[in-house]
Parts: sequence; C-alpha cells; structure tokens
Amino acid sequence: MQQPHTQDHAAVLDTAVPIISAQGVDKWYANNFHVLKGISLEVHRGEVVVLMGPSGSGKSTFIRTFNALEAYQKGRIIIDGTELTPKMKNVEAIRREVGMVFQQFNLFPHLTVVENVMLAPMEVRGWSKSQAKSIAGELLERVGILNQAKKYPGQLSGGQQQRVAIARALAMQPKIMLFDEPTSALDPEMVREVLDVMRNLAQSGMTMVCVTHEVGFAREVADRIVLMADGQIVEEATPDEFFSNPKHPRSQQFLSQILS
Amino acid sequence: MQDFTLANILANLLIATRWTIALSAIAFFGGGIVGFIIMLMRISPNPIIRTISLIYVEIFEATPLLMQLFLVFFGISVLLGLNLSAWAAATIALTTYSSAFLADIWRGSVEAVPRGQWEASRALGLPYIKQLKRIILPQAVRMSIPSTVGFAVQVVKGTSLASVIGFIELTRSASSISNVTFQPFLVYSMAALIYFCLCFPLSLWSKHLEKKFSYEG
Repeated sequence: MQQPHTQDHAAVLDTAVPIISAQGVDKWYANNFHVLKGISLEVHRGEVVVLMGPSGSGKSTFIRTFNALEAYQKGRIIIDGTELTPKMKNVEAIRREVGMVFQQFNLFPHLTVVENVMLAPMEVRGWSKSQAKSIAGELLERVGILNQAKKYPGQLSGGQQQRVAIARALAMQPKIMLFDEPTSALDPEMVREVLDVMRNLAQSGMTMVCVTHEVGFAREVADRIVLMADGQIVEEATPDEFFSNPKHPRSQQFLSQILS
Repeated sequence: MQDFTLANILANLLIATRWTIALSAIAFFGGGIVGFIIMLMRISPNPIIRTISLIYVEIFEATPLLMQLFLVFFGISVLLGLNLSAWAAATIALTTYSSAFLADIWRGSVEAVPRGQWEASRALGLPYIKQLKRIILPQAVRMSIPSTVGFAVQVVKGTSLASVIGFIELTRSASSISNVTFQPFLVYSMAALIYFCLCFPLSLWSKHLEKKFSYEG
C-alpha cells in the first residue's frame, strides 16, 4: 500500500508546481523606463491565462520574458523547473519548450508554408525530413491549411498566415504556448478562424498565456484573466468574476473602454 | 618607326584587358570572402568585435583607393623590407577595398531583414548560427544581389588605378600605346569602349536583378 500512496502524492506535487512562475519581476528599458514593476504570476499545467490591459501596460514585454526574448533585471522566472538567468548557457533548451505566436506572424518569407513548419523540428530537434514532414502535415491539417502547404507565406491571407504560425510553433511540441496579440493585425473577418484554432488548442489541454483583447475568447476559454496596468498586475480573476464584477477601478475603467 | 593599325592597337589593348579582368575577379572574390567575415563581425553581438570591424570599414571607405594602392605598394616595402610586385600590391589593395564595401553592403542587407525574423527563429530555439544560416542570410542575400553586382562595376573601374604603380592592365597599356602612336584620343577612346563593354552588361544585370527582387515578396 505504501508504494501507490507515494506515487499519488508525487503526482499531486507535480501538478501543484506551476509550469510558469514569475516572482517579483522588474524590468527597465535602456531608457530607464520601468516597464515591469515587481510582477508575480503563476501558471499551472493545462491552464489558459488571458492577459489584458491598456497598451503600454507591459503585457507583451511580460510574456516575452517567459522565453527570454526580453531580459529582466530583478526577480525570478522559472519555466518548467528551470530558472531563466541572464548568463544561462542553454537558453535554446527553454525556447524549444515554449512556443510563441506573434502579432505580425513573422513567418519565414523565403520558405514555403510546409517548410516553415518543418524547419525547427529538423534544425533544433534533429528530426528526419520525413518525420518533420509528417508532423507538419498533421498540424497544417489541424489548422486547416494543408491545401496551401506548397505556397509561400506572401500568397496567404493574414488569418491563414497566423494559423501557419501557430502550426509552426506547435511543431516543436512545446509545453507552453504564448500568444502575443495574435489577432490584432488581422482584418476583422479573419479573427475568428484564428481564435477557433486557439480554442481547439486550449481544449486539447495546452498551457496557454495569451495577450489579447478578444473578450469573447477570454470569457469562453480562459481559466483566469489577469489585468495589467502600468507594469503591474491589478486584478486576477475568473472570467465570470472579471467581466461581471471587476473589483479594481483600473479593471472597471479598462472594461468600460473595450466593451463600449 | 613601326606603324600601328587599328587592329593592332585593339589586339594589344585586349591582351592587357585579360589582366584587368583577372585583377577584378580576384579583388571581387577575395574581397567577397574577407568582406563576408567583416560583415559577420559588424553584426556580432560583441561590441568590441563590432567596433574593430567598423574601424576597418571606415578606413577603407573614407580614403581614396589610389592612396590605398600607394600605401600598400610603398608601405609594405618600407615597413617589412619586402619588395612587393605591382601585381601583389594591386591584389592586396583592391581586395581590402572591395571587402570593406561588400561588408557594408551586406551588413545593410542583414539589417534590412525585419527584427521579427530574428525573434521568430529565436523563439523556435534555433541557435545563433542557424538563425543566420537558415533564416537571416537567405533573405539578406536576395536583397543584396543587385547592389553586389553593381559594386562589381566599381571594382572593374577601380583596377585602372593599379596602372599608377606599374601594373600593366588596360589603362597602363593604353597609355604605353598612345606614347608610341601619338594618337591618345583614339587609343583612350578604344580603352574606354572596352571598359564600357565590361561594365555595361554588369550594370544592366544589376538593374534587372533589382527589378526582379523588388517585385517578389
């Protein structure tokens, strides 16, 4: 009886350890602008967290510290048990496990859609071409772009490009997905196709941190809404609480602006 | 005194043209190799390496090629006690000159690749060398081809300066022939025509490439 008990205990502990843990993170830009002011946030496996807040509040900068695209000066960030430090040797090992989707898609224009998706698994994970091709095919099918696999990104619409970008990030089989305003650069009629892909991804159990202003998506998909303002987290709540009964005046002000 | 026919003059000029072409080719490809290394230094994350390469580029860009030729030709013999041939001096001077300009052209192209391309490849976990090789350089090369070919024209014309240190190429040969024939206008016109025939196709090609790459995206 002793053995199963300890296993259960270990499993409980494992899920209790957040996969993303930011503790008192401070960041100043080169011009001394204090963009992150002692932020702490924990994200657990399988959780979907939506970061909202006015522009300039530091949301994007904050999630970009999770894969070390941005450095920070004080505090700690621990991703899946590994602390990100300025002098760390193998930052690529973290980035492999953290997928990112950008506002401007950032697809590689000189590669075809399928090559965009295959590149990192081959170059970083060392997969064979056929392995990479088969997973790229699966992912492109999942995001509904398989019939465009041989085209170049410039030949696709914005919504299609963003779905390819999601497939490209997923091809690395990351443990965490970061979305940095993924629909902000899209024409309105293309927002939905991207949100649908994100919604399916959330339902599959992916850990996601999304910076977005899509209220419908946040309400339906998020486990937790985090509101940032002036480099600080001012409110953390479930979508129900947040949208129906925001507590902080900054949240109320923000919601009145985006919902009007 | 020997009479020079038009065909005679042309034949002599064309023989010397071989050396113009050879010197241009060596300077361009040698300059390309050195220039590629300098370009990598220019975009290095290390500020000391960046500064060293910047100084290198600025020195060669901000002094006349003619001075560089003199300094290599006379300087190396004074400083190192070596007697450098005109051929070697011209090769060294034109290679370093080309390397500085090509490094600058290519650095500009690398910097014209949007920052998001670096970020996306970093976010996927690609190490720096692979980011450069697979993502940044392929895009930079496309952008730099027109200006690189355009610079080849400058190199061909630049080789004419090697005549002043006694290297016998097209210009030097033209001046020798005109000294004998007393027909400088005719001889230099023919030399100019030969330069034109070398450079004009290059410059047309450069313009064609510029159009070709600007329409693709």
